[in-house]
Amino acid sequence: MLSGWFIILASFAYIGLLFAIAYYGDKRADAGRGIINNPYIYSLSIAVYATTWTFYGSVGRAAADGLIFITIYLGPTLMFVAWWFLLQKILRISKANGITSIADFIASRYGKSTAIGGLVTLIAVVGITPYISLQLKALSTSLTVLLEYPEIVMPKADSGLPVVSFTAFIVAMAMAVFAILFGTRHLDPSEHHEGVVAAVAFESIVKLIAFVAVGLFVTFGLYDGFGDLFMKAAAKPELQKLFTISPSSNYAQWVTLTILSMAAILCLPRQFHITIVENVGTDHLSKAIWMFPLYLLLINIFVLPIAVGGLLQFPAGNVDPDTFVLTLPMSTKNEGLALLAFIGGLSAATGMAIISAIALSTMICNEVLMPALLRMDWLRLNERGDLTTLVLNLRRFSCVFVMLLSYGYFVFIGNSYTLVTIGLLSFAAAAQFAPAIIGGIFWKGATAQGAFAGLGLGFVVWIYTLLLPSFALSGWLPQSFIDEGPLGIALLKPYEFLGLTGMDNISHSLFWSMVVNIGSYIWVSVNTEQSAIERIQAALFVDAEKYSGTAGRSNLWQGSAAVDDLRDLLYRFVGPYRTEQAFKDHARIRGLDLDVLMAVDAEFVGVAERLLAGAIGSASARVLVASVVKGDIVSLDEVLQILDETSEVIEYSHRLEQKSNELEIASDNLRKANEQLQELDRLKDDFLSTISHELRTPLTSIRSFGEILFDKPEIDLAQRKQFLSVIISESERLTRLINQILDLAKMEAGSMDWEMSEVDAAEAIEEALVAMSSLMADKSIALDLKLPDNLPHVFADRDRLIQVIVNLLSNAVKFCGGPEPVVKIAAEVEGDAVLVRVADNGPGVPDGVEEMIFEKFQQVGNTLTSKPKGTGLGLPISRQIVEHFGGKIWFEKADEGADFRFTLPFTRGFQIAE
Amino acid sequence: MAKKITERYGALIILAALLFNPPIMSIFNSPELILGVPMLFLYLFVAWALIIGFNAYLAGKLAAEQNQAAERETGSDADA
Repeated sequence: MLSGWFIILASFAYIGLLFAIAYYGDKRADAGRGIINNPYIYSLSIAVYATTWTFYGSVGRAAADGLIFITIYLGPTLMFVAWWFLLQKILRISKANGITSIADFIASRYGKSTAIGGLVTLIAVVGITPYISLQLKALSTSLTVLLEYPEIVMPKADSGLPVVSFTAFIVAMAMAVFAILFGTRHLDPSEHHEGVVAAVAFESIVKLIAFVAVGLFVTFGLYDGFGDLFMKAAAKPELQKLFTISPSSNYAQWVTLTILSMAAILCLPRQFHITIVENVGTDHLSKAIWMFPLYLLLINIFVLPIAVGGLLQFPAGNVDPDTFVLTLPMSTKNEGLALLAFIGGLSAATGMAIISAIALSTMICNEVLMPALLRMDWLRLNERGDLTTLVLNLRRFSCVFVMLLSYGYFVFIGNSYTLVTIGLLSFAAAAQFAPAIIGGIFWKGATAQGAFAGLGLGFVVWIYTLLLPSFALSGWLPQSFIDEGPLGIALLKPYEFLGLTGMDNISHSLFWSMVVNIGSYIWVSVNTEQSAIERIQAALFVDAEKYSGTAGRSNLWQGSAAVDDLRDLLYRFVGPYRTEQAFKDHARIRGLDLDVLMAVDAEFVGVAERLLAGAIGSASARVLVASVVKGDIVSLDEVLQILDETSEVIEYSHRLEQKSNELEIASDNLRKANEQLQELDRLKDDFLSTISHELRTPLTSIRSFGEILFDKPEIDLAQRKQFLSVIISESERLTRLINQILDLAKMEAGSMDWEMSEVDAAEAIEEALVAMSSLMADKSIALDLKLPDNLPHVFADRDRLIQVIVNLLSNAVKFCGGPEPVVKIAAEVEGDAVLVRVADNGPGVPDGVEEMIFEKFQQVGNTLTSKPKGTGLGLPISRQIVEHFGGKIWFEKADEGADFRFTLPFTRGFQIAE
Repeated sequence: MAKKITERYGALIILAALLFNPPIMSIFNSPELILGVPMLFLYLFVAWALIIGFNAYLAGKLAAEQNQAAERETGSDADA
């Protein structure tokens, strides 16, 4: 089944499927129902990070050095953990400024400099081309191996079958066509290619399934699970060493590779393109930051098992570990799986190649070709008609150029290098962008010269310490260049620069290039001045948060432009439809009438420039807009002033809003306090009038009886005695009343002296009973007492507690009636408190006044017709006291009589003590 | 509150950097098999999964809070 034509057919059928998916994705997007607008597709598309390097190369690396391959995936995980500080900010800046590529981002930050944009593009093209050719190499190797089926033969160096080399060429061109068809369909100011993203997300699923399928097959098909596989490997010392990392040489490499891959996930042009430029919803990022690392984790689980399984299956060492993913299924005649593995590798290769081609061609066109063409005055480009076709053709040309370059690198140099080495070469090149990017968004003082120096010198060091030696290894340069140094100068040996030894090539190159890159970036930045536009851009990038509300208000133009000039310009690059759309939107927001508008102001020009920048990059856009605007670029101070003013106004209105909110809250509080005061005032009046009434009643009777005794000395002794006893009892009542009023006042004012201590509730009840016993005996009231032993102690003021019980008891005594008056007292433990109840068999409390009786001077019954039996303060005081103890007091509804209950919490820690 | 989550993110970054690098990693750098798999292999994947889990948790909280904040914003706009 696995004959040559079938494999080729399957490959092209698969690529055809990709075209179909991309076509469908674009159709849906055109219809306004894009399929990529969700975090899952977004996360999968970021997994374009996993190339053939992951698919084939990781196994090769694991077979040689063990677990160190995993650093390439831990780095991105770390970077995505730090997304909140880096990725998020970059994403916001890019969205606000219509960034089209990583070169555009860096150039924009440093004053929309064409020089920097061009340099970044150069580094990217030189650095990434080997990486794309790596995909072609992996593809052709896997195809060669698969074509030999059922034999397992490794391709010999330089003797690639013509059909294979030709297939690689065809695939490269198919990818270029794909990138052209779906990546340069039209000039989209937002630079979104929905079809491509959908296809890449699909490829991510395919390669994951293929790799995991091979992993499961090796682990559970060839062996009996992880335990069996690793047990067999552990028996061989040369395999067992793959389980660990040799501390002497590999720890340093471990750290280097982690840092390198952290930089790569941010700086590789295709990662920047897919993560930042193709992002259609900023909120998708917060899901992708864990789903993408999860994808990496899943695809890495089986790397070591496949590597170990391969080494066990092919002990002779005649099979290249880079091909294990393919050769293991082949060795067991598992044709379907072998084909799936090949398709998986194809997915990994094509996804990477397509996105890289689109990202690089955008950069080449926007940052190099357009600015160059615009500068050639004799071309009179400014005056030509529709330029969208020109721009698109430039991009198409660039796509083909990139793929041809990669194919060339593959043909001439690719065969001598293993996959991982080439990949790391590209990572190290991309890492050169990191200082300029990270410095650019956090350090306002970084200048364009500094960035140019850092990028340029870092790139030169990278060429010298990695790229040139790789040429030497391939025979393009003499081997002595590596061994003895150029012209025999040992200090200049590219792998041991200035005599630095003991590092692997990558760490060595990364170290020197970063020292030079960061060093010159900082040194030159500190010693040069920023131009006006640089300072503005620096402020916009570093303080992105602060200026986020001012987008559209900050621009560099002074004076005005004729609407028609501006319109013509935009027509040529973004087409009439989008131009009119943008003009109308802006005019609506500002309340302008486009039909009568002749000249537009700076703000309008700013909008046009951003629209243009989205299509052809900020550097080109600036040059073009400058050609139609009459008037100069605004001076720095003016722009910064505008920026600061707008942000200040926003800030100010924020503060104002806050202040008014605070004021509202404050006045609300005041109103409440006032209401409370009025209520208190009313209560005080009520209280005073009630109290004077209550005080006057006994005083009146004392006074009238006193007057009678004074006026009528002839009253007989018996009557005199009776009057005097009334005077005495009324005085007592008065005293009691005054005492209680004082108590209550003190308690309410919080100035009562409490003597809190542990109190035995049972003892307090008994004491209160003693005080009441004579009264009860007088009235011949029966007592029903239930006091359990070992009642826990409560935390209370003993005298006040007795006062409460006496209050309740005297109420009970007062009100109990019938032929057999009885008062019941009981105490029991309920929950974490002692519950005391005092009940009688009197008339009880009428419905609806159960709460009222706890208020001051509220007595049950008509106080006007019948003489009050109490002061009306007993229960309020009792409530105050009990609540102070942390308990509560209430009236429990009973069938007969009144039933008062209150609780007293235990002494804290009581239960533990017991 | 968002500030507090940012601080937690700082802590998570430090934790991840510690877990994924020597010297912590070197504690597990032994050829022994645990549960049938090499110790370092097991450690790396467990630590990895842990970090991803934490990241997902914090990101979820953050998103929820930002949504709330956005709602509050629009809510107060409607009031005004």
